[in-house]
Amino acid sequence: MRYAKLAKADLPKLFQSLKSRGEVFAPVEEGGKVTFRKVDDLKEVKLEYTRTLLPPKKLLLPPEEEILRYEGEEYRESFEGKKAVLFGVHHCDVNGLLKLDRVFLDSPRDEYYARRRENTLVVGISCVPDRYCFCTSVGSGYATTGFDLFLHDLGREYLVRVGSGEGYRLSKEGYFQEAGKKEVEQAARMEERRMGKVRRRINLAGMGDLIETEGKEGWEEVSAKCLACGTCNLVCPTCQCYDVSDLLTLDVRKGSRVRRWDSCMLKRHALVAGGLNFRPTVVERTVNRLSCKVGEEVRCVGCGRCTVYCPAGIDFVEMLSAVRGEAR
Amino acid sequence: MKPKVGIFGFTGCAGDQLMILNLEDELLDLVGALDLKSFTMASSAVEESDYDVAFVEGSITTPKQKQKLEEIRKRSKLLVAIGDCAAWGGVQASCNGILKVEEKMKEVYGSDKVWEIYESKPLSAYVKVDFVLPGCPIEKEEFLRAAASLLRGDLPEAVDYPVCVECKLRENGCLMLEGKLCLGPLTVGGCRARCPSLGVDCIGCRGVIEGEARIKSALQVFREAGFKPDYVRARLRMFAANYPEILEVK
Ligand code: SF4
Ligand code: SF4
Ligand code: SF4
Ligand code: SF4
Repeated sequence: MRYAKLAKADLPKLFQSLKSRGEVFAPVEEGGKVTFRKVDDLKEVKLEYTRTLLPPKKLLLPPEEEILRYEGEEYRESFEGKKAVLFGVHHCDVNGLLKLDRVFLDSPRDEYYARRRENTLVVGISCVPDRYCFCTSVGSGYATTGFDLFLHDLGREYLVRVGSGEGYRLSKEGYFQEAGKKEVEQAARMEERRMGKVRRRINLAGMGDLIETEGKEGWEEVSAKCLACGTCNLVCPTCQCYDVSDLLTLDVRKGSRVRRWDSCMLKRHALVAGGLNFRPTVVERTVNRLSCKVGEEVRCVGCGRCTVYCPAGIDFVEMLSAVRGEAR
Repeated sequence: MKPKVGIFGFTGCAGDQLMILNLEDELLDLVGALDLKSFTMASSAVEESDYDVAFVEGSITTPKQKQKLEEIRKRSKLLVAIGDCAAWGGVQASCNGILKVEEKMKEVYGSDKVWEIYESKPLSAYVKVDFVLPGCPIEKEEFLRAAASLLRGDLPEAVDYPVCVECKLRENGCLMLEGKLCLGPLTVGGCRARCPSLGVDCIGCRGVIEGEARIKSALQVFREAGFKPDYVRARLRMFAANYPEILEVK
């Protein structure tokens, strides 16, 4: 990997250069929340933040998108080839994108996601953890790949890790300086301090088996307050499910096909033809969600969003502790 | 042959029929695509006819309405309830089970024998309803989309997810976490979370998600959030008092 140094005073230069490569989406504070949206000026960007409400996934897999349009017998797929930059993505969210890549880039390849991903530069930045983060317990506390550039805050400058060819070309622009062992050591110490602030822990040893053998009563208890609202899925950086509908005009000559993020906590996710639902209540749905996130495979990146935004105050980590038989 | 359609109204504010008249851009296409046999609000002309689709607004509150509804049902292949009154009985049902109609009549008219009236009930209390277009009033877009399917004899795709879904897709913060009582989790989506997107808690105008809404859990969550039982009950009853689990709430 190549390492470079960027003085904070030169960050606007990097920003300008990124802007010339496509629309820049970055964390912005508005209405009491932080959200990724299109920015024109570095001044709009919130460089130090904890988490955005929706993960940056929303720009590669939009909450709602038209996937094709038809008229008569003809149809055309609605691909987007716009160049874009995701600026200011945290370790957990970079790892979240890698988990999505495995679903949407490995075969069968999802062309809509793939084209966006290929046309999007990802610039990571170190984060400000709070008491809901537990990225370090799920192996997502540090991003080793999945970005073009990653900025580590060293006070007056950034250590920049270069993660791709495009990132390499950027890092060769005049305002970057060379960096070596010294800066890398400094950054490692800073990252150690940062990760030390991630106090929340989950113990995943045997978690898949514990989930599988938990009894109905236990599940009823952990999901007693669940409102089946879907929020936990919709804010998750690694939820990948979507639903597809056709929107027709009155004469059905024309129409479009759209997909929308789905949630396994909702009725229709497991509803099949004939009306059978193989996950009829929040109990089966909760089991499914937890197995998907931390069962056989760890797909959770520990961002804390599902806990922070659950209207019923259900805590993901506490649910797992309960399944382990630990007192809440 | 164009499908024969009737649009009827019972007890309600006629807001859903008004929504149809308000389609402006699409109204001509709509009227061109079907053979409109009656439209209570738009014209007094009523043809005695059979219908491929009958759209019915309003709740049933008198024996005469019940009879007319049964007549419409007999003549229609598909009967679609439009709006909260037709779907759940409307706000006029909010005191069902608490205050008897006779008592209400006495209070207003001084006698409990002025008319024979029923407690406000949804259409489904008396006839089979094939599809529900919820809302107070209904959503134009949803109506048009549903019409595209219904006019071909298909049942449209029903919304069975809560308001929260569109609320999150629009990246709103959650009002429940700001100390407001929001009925989004119990309420049928499809309004693009209109109210929470403006910072106003959902009052449930699109009705409860039948068989799905987690009323007991919500009662616990609302209680723990410090809301008084009377307030919670009144909020739940506003648009969905006839939902059995809500009718029982003390
Ligand atoms: S966010 Fe909370 S209430 Fe909503 S479905 Fe998830 S666990 Fe249940
Ligand atoms: S399951 Fe929860 S904590 Fe884990 S990645 Fe998803 S939203 Fe974040
Ligand atoms: S504000 Fe209301 S509708 Fe939106 S997520 Fe919260 S509970 Fe659901
Ligand atoms: S948010 Fe609730 S009250 Fe507002 S329009 Fe939607 S369903 Fe009705």
